[in-house]
Amino acid sequence: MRKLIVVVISTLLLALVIVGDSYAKKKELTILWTSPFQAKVINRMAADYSEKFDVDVKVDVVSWEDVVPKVSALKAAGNPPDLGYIISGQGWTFYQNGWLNPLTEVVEFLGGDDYFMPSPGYQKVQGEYWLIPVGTMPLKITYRKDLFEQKGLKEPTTWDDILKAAKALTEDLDGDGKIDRYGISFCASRTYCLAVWFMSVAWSNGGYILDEGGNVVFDSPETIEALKFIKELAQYAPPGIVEYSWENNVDTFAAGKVAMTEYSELRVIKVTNERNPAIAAASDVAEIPVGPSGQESRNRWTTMHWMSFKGSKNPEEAKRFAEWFMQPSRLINYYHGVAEAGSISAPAEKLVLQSEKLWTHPLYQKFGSVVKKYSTFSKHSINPVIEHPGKITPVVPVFMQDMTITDAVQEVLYGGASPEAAASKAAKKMRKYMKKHK
Amino acid sequence: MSLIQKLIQNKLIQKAVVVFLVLCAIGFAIFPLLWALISSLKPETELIQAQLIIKHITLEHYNDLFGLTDFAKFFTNSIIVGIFATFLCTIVATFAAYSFTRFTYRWNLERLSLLVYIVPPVLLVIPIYLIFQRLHLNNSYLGLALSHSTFMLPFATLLLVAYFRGIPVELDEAALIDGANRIKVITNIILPLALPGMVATGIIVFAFSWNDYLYAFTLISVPELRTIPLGIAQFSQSQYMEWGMLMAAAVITTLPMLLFFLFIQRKLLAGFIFAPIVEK
Amino acid sequence: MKKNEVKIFKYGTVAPFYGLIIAISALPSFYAIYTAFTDKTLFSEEWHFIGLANFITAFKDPVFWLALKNNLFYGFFCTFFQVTLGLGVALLLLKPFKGNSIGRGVIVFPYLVPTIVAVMTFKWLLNDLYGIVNHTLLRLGVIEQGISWLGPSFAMFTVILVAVWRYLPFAVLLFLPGLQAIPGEFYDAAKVDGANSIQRFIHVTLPQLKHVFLIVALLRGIWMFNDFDIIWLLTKGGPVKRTLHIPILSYTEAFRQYDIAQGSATAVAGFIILLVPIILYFRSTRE
Repeated sequence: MRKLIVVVISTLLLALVIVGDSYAKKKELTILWTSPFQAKVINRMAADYSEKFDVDVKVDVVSWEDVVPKVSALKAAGNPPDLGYIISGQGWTFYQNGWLNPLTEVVEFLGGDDYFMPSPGYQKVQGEYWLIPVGTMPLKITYRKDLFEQKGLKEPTTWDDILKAAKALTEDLDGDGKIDRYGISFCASRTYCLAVWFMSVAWSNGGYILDEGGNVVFDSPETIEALKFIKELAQYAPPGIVEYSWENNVDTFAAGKVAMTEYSELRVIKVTNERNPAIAAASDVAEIPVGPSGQESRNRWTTMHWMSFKGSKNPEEAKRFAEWFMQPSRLINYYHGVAEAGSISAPAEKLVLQSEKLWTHPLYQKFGSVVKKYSTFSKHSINPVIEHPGKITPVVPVFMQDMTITDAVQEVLYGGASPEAAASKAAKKMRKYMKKHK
Repeated sequence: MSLIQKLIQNKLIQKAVVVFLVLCAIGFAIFPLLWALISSLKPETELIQAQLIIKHITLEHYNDLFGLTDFAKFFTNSIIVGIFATFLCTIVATFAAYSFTRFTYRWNLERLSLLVYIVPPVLLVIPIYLIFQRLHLNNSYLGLALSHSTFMLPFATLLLVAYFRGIPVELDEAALIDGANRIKVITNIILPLALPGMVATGIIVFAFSWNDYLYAFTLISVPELRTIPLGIAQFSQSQYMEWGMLMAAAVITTLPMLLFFLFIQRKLLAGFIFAPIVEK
Repeated sequence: MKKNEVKIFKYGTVAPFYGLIIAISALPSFYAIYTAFTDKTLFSEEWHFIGLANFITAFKDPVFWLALKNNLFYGFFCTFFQVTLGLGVALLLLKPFKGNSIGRGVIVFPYLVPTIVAVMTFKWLLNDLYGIVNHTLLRLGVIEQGISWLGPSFAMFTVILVAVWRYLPFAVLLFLPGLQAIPGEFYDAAKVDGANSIQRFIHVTLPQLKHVFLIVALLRGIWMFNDFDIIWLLTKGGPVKRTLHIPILSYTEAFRQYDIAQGSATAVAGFIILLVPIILYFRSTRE
């Protein structure tokens, strides 16, 4: 009996050792990929790279919400990933806390200003580039041009336009007393989605979270106006928006149940094309409408960025991979892969947009004009981290993701709170946070 | 007797009521999954409609599931980890439970161990990663299986203690007098009598491991070891929900387990479940 | 068996139990609890001990108390229904009849589906525009307008419903062997004494089931109180914080505000409550 125990224990120990040792001694590269739906695409590219350059590339795929816990755990243990493909707000938070290595070398290799379009993500900070933007994702309204034309409406540019259009397009089509199609769909659930939408509307009315001096101004009259507007607009949205996130916007638009929706990528168009090609062909995109107190249309801008982590084991290899990935022909392959996988990316690279190869893909051919609208940013797209030019404030995405703003909007929409009360409560919470963490 | 009383006491009516209630319970349990099955066979164009009847049956979502993601690998990994974790947990818990019920201890340890369930697991991500990484147990089947076993250990031990207590010590002593050693006592006397309870515990441990997202997410960073929950997360976030694939995944992850469980029911448990345990 | 051999066996058999629990469960818990008394953020290099400051912040925050209230409500009702309905279903599936084994197999289904799949399926079933539940209810004329199942009025009900659906099999799985272990003679004796079925249930079944029942109730209570996934995936604590509970509040503070110390404090403050049922359980099963 004792012999058996000894044998079992030693086998377990041996297994442990073998498992621990089985990680090859050749060059390695760990990538933290956070655009899960394109996992197959990046895995293919990583396998390509592994073969070509004899490097063991390991891609870990996590969702947006799990990035911060995962990277924190890895960093605490002393092995952060070599390369991260992470969304803007989180990337800037990592930069602000000193967790990144500069990637200026890669930007210069690619051609700098000759390669990248000007954008809220292509920023030199303290003389270096820390994040390399891939594509662009400004928030835009996708709308049914055919229905608008039917009602004699033009592309909506102001709050009045949108309210009028939403009202006109909320109809009972078959006379059974139930509304069959609503004017607009937007997310109103307790998610980041709502914060993004609301802030885009607020910014287009001149309402900010912080002013240029870094003080909380969420309870400004402009923001309160925006809250009132959202409440009015919600009348023309399906009652279920209380549980809607991005995907629901896609679903309802694709099913023809709404005449307008808001989204940051062309996934709406792609999915609609798969489920209801006629609707997709009849759709177009418009900017976020301007409010009465606003000067011009502004929208929340974001995209995915490459970043290199301080303390990672293979920073040089990371740079080589980024350089390889971002070269126009390979980037175009990536975009085409994404078009197969889940969305149609809007490129933000001059050479890519000018290349004919990009437009050979059927989806890029069919929706070329829409893609181009996404790619040419409204000059005043706002990267939440940079609400005002020149000042980096990672606390703004924190307020967008920690439900402060979301709760304020929900309280106005569903909690019966007055916009003034909701805004001031949220502003108080923000001031408290800033006091504690500065 | 009044008519109502007669009706209630009628065996046939009693049986009918029972069958009706069972059907309700089964219906409640299975309806969402039936819906998933139906949806998984609907083409993309029909997906978002409240129809029970499929107009064109298609396997496109299953193709996508296995073609666009490494689902076969996720499935295999989940099975390996699940079985590994269940065995580890059961063995450790069996030995511990035997010890707690046959020997005297100052404190009631199996109940004290329940205190580890108090902290919401989501806060344990960082320390767990730190510990496992130091032991080189991250990114391994063993590491993940250990984390699952350990999480379920207090539960399993507590339960096995309850079942073992029902087995009289006299049986042990009789066997020991006959010259058996302790291990033989466990395998030949305790296990057969406690088997139904142990199988139930085993199923629960396996189900936990099968569905666990937290530990898998913390400990696994390489594609080849990804389990089902991690794999599914790739196409089911708020930005990228592939309904068809998700429904196909629902079917694939439950159907085999159903068949396996039915098989176990007939073979293993039929004998034991209907045999009464000896009196105390 | 010699005395030393017995001792080795006694301690040897519990060593793995101890070892694993201390290393993998207890240590991380202590780390998390200790964090609550510091000022650590996800990005800070050093930590400083700041005593009860985070706890005071939590206790002063009305949102904390709202979350605690919701948590107790959710935890209690989930456990209540899981245990009682679970017992009911186990009783139904106890006696052999045609289709019994299929019933037992099928009842486990909800427990085997990955949570995200279960939640998304329910979300879809309960969708206001194209969910089959509303569709059917409208057709049958039971309701005039689609119910917003995840809206402010129904959200808590819906999350409890999904949680009960998901974890009912746990109770059934554990009650079944327990029920079967009750010797038939006990029931016969009771019948002889003139007891009807309800009295037999109260005086024979329940007492025999006491141990298992308490374990199931306690564990479901603890696990439902701390359950994060179901509410998070369904409503993220909304709308208007109707389903906000301590685990979500704690997660938001730790990983959305990056204030991991505050998140830990919120969790610790919340789970002190859990000690109550645990201590009650210890008392009631004292031998």
